[in-house]
Amino acid sequence: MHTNFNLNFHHKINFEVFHDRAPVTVDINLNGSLIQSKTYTPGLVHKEKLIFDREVLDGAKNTIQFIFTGEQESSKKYLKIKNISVQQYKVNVMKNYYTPIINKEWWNTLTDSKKKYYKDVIYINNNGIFGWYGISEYEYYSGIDKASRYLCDAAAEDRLLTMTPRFVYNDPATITLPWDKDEN
Amino acid sequence: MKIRIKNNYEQLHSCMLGDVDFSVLGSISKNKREKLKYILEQTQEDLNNYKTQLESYGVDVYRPKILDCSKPVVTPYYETIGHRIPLTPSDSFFINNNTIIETASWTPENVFIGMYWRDVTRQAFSNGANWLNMPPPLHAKNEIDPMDDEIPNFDPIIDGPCMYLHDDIILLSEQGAANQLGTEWMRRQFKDQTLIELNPKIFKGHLDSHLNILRPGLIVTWHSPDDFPEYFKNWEFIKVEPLHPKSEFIDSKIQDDDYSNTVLLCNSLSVNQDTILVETTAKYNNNTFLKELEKHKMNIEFVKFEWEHFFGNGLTCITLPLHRED
Repeated sequence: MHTNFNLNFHHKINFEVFHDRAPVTVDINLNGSLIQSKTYTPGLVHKEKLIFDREVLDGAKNTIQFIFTGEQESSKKYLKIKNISVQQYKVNVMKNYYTPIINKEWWNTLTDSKKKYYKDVIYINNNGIFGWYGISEYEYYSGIDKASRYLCDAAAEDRLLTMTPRFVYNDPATITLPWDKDEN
Repeated sequence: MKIRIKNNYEQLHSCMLGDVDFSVLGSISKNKREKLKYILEQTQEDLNNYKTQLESYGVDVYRPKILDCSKPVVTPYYETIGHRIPLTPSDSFFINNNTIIETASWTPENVFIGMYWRDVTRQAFSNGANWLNMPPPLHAKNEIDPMDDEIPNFDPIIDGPCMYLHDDIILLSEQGAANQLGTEWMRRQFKDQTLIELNPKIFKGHLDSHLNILRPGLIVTWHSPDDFPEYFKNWEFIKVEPLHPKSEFIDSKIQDDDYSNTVLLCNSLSVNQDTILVETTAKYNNNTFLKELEKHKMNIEFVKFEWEHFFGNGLTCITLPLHRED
């Protein structure tokens, strides 16, 4: 339930999972609490729509974390985050923090230009498609209204970097820009 | 060094150009550092190339002195985890004719940003420019009422791009990155000019993301002409399409969907009335804009600022014109 300082936010996540020959597991956490853990059978494209409500704090940073694991390596596997929305606000699926588990021996065989290519893929150029096992994270800030944004300590890192923190406010009617709103 | 700005399209002679500061990584969560270090490295390279491009047009380019921005800022009223990097000089200054103003930001981490640029302001002052500094806001948490607006109205606050100068007028945005006292502070400085407040429901935040005057009578915007005040009656409008078709991956240059009032194509930088610098992303996502510019016989030069969408900053954010031809 809403109080002055706690908010109950509605989350929707569309994602896809695939491995050609072995089962894989995707754990989804919000702020360190497990929301869903599911193992997927190989050889099928699994399309998932996860909907959940969770309490978040006013003026807080929230992290949605995906942990993609499996016993067997394959180049034909992926976790694809297609869409994330919170209170109908779109969370940019391309803005993620991805920590893949990479075989160092393989990495050391790459040329500098190939390493640059893969760093681009890891850090920015992935379109929410994660081909290595590992952890990918999305962040948003929660607030009752826009007054919560001013002096929000949790958003200081973004401000240091001149970035605009992605705030999600309680009332979806505050979404004035068409590209902020999730129409799905 | 001469300070003289009357509009955003006369021949550019000198400007500030932002930079990154790697010491900021010390204030960032460990899990993000590798990615951000990579982005800062790439950005630094892009900025250095941008400097060369500007110089090829005969523009003198001034860069910030790099300080240790991981040092916390401690005042009697607040404490920060570090200081903002000097990537976006236009956020922190407003130049009107030969007056350079260090503006007061709503961002507490921005309070000493002028120090990065002190060599420039000292030199400008010694060469006859007026040099003003707005009072630094207290940012006192105990003053904030939960029912306040986005930026409480205790001290004057206004980011530089909340104002847009066009000869005898200054367009104003009072919401998003400014408060009423901020716009009032500016009114009292520039009593001889007409300050026009734009509709706050439409023009919120930094105005260079909303509009760009290319020549007298020609304006770029993603808004409808009906949203503009009487001043723009009979002007010609070039429309920038605000929506990317979807948040789709195109290549490494386009990795988000321009949220938060930012339509970065508006933030293209005019070298003069015939030449405009546009970020290379425009080649891929908005052909209408480029065709319109060509129709108006503008020379387009592309500038690589690959991570502009990551930062949410365009070319006019990372540069601050200091001198344009009278």
